[in-house]
Amino acid sequence: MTSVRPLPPVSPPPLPPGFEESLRDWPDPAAAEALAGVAPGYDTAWWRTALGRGWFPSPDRRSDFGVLVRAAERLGAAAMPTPLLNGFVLGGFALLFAGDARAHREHLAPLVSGERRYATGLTGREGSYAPDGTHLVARPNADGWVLDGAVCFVPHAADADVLLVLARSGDGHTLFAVDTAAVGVSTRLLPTLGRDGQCEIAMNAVRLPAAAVVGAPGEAWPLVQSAVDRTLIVQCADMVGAADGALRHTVEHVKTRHQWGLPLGVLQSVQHRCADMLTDVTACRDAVYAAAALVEAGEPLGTTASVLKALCAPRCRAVSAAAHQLAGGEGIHADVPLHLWYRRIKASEPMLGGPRFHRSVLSDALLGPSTTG
Amino acid sequence: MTVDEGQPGYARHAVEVFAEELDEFLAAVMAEAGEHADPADLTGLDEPFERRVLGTAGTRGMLGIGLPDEVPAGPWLRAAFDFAVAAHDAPLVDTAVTLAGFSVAAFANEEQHAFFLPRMTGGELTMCVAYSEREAGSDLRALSATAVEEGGGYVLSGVKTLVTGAHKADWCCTVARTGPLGSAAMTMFLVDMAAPGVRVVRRPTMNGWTLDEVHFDAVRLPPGAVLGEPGRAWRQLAAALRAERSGMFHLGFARHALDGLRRHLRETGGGDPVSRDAFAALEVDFTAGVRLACRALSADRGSSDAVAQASMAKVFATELLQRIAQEATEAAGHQGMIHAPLFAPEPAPAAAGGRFAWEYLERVHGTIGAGANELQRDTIAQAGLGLPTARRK
Repeated sequence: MTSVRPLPPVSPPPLPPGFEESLRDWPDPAAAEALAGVAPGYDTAWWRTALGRGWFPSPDRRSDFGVLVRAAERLGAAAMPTPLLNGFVLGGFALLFAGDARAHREHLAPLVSGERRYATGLTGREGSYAPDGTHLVARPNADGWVLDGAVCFVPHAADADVLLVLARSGDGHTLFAVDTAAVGVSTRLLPTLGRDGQCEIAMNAVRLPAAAVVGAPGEAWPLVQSAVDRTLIVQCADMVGAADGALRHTVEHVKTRHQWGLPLGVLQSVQHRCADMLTDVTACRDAVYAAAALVEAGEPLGTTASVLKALCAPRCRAVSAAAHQLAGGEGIHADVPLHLWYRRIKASEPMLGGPRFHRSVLSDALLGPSTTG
Repeated sequence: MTVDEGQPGYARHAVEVFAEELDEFLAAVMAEAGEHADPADLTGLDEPFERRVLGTAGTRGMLGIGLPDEVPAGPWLRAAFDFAVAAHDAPLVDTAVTLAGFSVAAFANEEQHAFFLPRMTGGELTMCVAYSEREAGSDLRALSATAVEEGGGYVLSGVKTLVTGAHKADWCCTVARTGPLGSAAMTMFLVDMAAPGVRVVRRPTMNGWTLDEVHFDAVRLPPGAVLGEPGRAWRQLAAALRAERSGMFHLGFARHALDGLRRHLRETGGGDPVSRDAFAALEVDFTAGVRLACRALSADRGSSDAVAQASMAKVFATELLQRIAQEATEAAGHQGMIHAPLFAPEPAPAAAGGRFAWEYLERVHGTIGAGANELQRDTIAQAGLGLPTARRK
């Protein structure tokens, strides 16, 4: 029998001082609209301030992982676009796990301080996060490496100084740090519904010195997966924050909007939808902080991150959809924040693997490979 | 390793130690359950075996584990108990302690306390709780059983329905009207099931076991039968409801069923892609159910947050049980339709020995009993989100 031990839930840590105040105006549909039109799609001044004030703990501060998670939850509720997940968390953990001391010095330090902006690309045009989903190919040459192919769906990549890209090299995977100004690198903005500045980055015979390799050639896959697992936890916190934002907006609406002389919220059909929304948000949030506590304790994650993504993506999405239904026609206007949460949660769905992918990770782990096809 | 009870790791340690002891105990004690099958009882087991298991668990101090609430890690130990006994199909889900422990501990006078609690936690006596009536389920204000004061005691009359295990109970915790119909003047009683005028009618459920009707035909109760204060049953019931368990036993049942589905899929080539996906989704939701139950346990007892959390845990877990039963039977197809009672011989070619079909019939009542999920959702919206209360007549 799979053992289960009932244990008290984990309380989220407090936010860093100043963080809350900096988000006072968010969710801000007008500001979001303005940012959406122009690359890189986020408020670079806010981001510089955030890094300058150390609001996001460095990935190597294991015991502060919960702070990172809490900050992501708050950003999700604020519906403010930032490069936190891809540029800071995924990139930072990839460097931490795959990189050696030199990579930590040359890349992790400037990433955390904000001295250089990083973007991280793991998948190709098909958007698969399985090992064969990497379509960038690295071939060794006399001076180092040549990269060919593309990485795709990289959020807020347009202003990155350095691209951390996963490439196939022989039988394995290798992580590279590529200067965006390198010859043969071209970036194209994708008009995604999440308005998260996603880019396709084409690499056409990009010549790199041997020093561009992060860590050991051919050995990056499992190390990058550990980074993906941690990023999934932060991503789920972001979704939970967004779902909670949508729920709070809904509750306010159904308490104040009257129909036939009564607040909407008196109707059982409305109450029951709200009850399910609260249940979903509560379950997802507790699961997020339980997973974060595992990271902080240095315990093995196993399939925790996959379970979490498979839990949060569909449930948070359902919350944001229910919020729209309960808000009625008013809610579909761009000057009302609901669509920001709705977009944000949906955009997270395929990023780093969708619910189906993560359920397959789980069923493979619990059932073994399928022999029935 | 020892962990001081004031330390943060204490609950984790205590739960770990107790859960391991329980798993070992239950595996051993349930090994011979197959020789004691009784499909007419909810536990699937005959009464002598149930009493033996109960007595052994009581002697080992497991039934009263974590009581009272102030015991460090108490609620977590009780949750670990609820989970494990359900996951092992042990006849310890509905014990005197789990059914009436809160009410007796909270409302009993000194004499009752001294008589009942040691016997309940020692596994020496069985109890049933009889609140519902034909016309009074979740809406207990409508109940019509009466207890009329006479000669210093009471005369109890009425018919209680949906009673679990009355046919084997030594005592019954019940509620009767001690004021006019429609008023909240109700009193809680502890009734000796051997008293003249108490009659149990066993009514088979759709899954073969019986739920009982308890008929009180002018049962003479001594003054000492009153539990708590006369006329205060409504408040006492509300308090007992608020102290309702985390629903962790639902998750024990879910674990058992999911392990069965997992075994079935592994034995049939790993399952088709759709079944595999559905199975993984259920595993995901199982972990969510555990999180909700733990959240409910940790909320400040009596707060509106705690009320909402308990309802969330109940709704989620009982609906999860229905989805597991549905996915398991659908994945198993024809073989999943073959039904066997618990502990009965397995009829070939049943999937999971007939358990999936049993689950499909069994899990209907979870969303109805202990406050229908519709009412629970009202509670979540009102206590958890502050939505306005509709006027109820």
